[in-house]
Amino acid sequence: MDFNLSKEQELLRDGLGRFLSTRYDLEKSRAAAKTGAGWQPDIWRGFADELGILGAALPEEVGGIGGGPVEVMLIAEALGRALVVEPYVDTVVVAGGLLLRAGGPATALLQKVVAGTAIVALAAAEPGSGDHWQDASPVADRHGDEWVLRGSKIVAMSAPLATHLLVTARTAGGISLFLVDADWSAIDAHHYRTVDDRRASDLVFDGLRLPAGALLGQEGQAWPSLAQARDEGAAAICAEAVGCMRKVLADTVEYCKQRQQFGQPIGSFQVLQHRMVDMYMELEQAVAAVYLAVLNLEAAPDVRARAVSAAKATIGRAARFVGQQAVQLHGGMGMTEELAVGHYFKRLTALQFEFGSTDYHIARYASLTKS
Amino acid sequence: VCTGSKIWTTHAAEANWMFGLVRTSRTAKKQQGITFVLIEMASAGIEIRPLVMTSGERIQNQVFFDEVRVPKSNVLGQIDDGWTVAKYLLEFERGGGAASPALQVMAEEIAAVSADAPAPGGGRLSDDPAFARKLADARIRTEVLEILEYRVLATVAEGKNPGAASSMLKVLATELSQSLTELALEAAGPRGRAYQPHATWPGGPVSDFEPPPDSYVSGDAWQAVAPLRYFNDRAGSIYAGSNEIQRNILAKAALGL
Repeated sequence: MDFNLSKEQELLRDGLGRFLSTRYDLEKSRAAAKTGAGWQPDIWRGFADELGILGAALPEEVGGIGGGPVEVMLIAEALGRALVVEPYVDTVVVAGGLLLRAGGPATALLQKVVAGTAIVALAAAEPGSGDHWQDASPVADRHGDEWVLRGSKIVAMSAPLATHLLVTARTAGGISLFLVDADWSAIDAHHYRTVDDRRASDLVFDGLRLPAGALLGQEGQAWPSLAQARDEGAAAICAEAVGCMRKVLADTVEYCKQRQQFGQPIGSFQVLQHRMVDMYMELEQAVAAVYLAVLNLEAAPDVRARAVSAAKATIGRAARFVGQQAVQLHGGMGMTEELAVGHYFKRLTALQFEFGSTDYHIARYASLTKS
Repeated sequence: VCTGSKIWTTHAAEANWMFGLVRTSRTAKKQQGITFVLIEMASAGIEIRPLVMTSGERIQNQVFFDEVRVPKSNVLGQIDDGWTVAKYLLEFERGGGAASPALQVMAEEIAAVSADAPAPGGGRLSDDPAFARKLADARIRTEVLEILEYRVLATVAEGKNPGAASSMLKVLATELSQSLTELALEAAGPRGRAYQPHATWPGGPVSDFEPPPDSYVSGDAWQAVAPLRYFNDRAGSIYAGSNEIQRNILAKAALGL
């Protein structure tokens, strides 16, 4: 297996790393997330114009550079390490993939995504079925030249920042995907902050009228593309989790070298040394699991799903252990917002449940490997 | 006259009295030469700095003392012998009470809501074998902990101290509680992602949060409170002597290592 990066990939990783270490300040980003607009648009502009990362994994036809899963992995890991709240995975990886595969009129919007001028968010989770996207219950009916959309969505990540929404709904032929302008005068929406300092919305569509062109791709045939988007989103946040875990493990080791108890650094106690070694081994397995997912992301759906489930289950376990133990070893300070570890812990908690929980992926792996 | 600071003073901002250990003489042995005093929070020279927790709440505080005068009549026990008083209190903080009734209520609440909550793989959460197994495991541990607690309480009822058993109960109860708050977070599903401290009042006031004007809550109150409880409960294995320290105590006291 070749784990070497190309020259271009190294440049991408190093350029983004430098940008984030000089421009992305944890306190400033938390302030924007908590009391400000929810994000920093100038950072997004930097991603689009200075770094070109928004198009790094998208084809040249839409203004991208033509990379693939490896580029997404490098970007997401760097974003995780800096605890970036801006919606790269939601808008570029998940919505970007859906728009790319829909083709046709969606292409123009994807060009805007790459240029950084459009933010697209997917609304798929629901009150009744939670994160089980197959059970879409909103209904879109065809009335002449229009679609009429009725139903509810919950926790649509990044929707409050969005210019456009992708909404899953049931039509006569099955699950369909609709493009909806994020016009908050026409949609009954509640926006809120999430525990990991992102933004999300609960949406109610009460007979919203959409033009015929709002249907993306074939009517009733959206599921294969949605399943792929979910797997690609899962793989991306696995890489993001690795970035988060590298940071909290490094911080924890450093803290345990400094913090004195009973006249010696707590890092000299064997029980804590073993704990940190276990964190390290969870992290190394997580890194390997990300490769497993990335190397199979363009394979046939069953092969892809099996690899992504293996990866997400591994990362879920690692994120839980590393996050919880980082807090434990920081003691009371780990419980506060005064150190970085508390903020990273919240993200490491939330991502365990995103794009399928650990238990979900273990169950899916079991069903895909049943002989 | 007290000068110095204390950290992790729970609800200091709301309290009008606090008790504390203060050093009253320098001795070779660290546990000697400290005195247990009761301090009125309104005394001149006290300053309180709240610490914002990961849940966003202000529960813990750092308290600073700048030449705070405490009358001699506020000393509990003997001067320089405060550790005796503290050890007695700690044994009861760490155990000797009973955590299992509250844990049982938590487990029952999770069982009740899981009948309606969606499972990550479709269907109802109570029908999800992985979730059902974890909940059953936590309930079994709760039932067993209850008997263990009765045994320790029986010792206390005979007028004896709980001793090292209180360390064991502290470890078991806090780790079980952490399993339950984690299960509740899982049960909350995507709703558990929303940050909505206005839904209930789990721990303390939140400084930088403005509730929505219409007081909208995504989902039910139990879902809204699940992530906050989960974050706050991580403190269980840290406070009152970390669980690592409790295991050190048990290694010595229970196993003679």
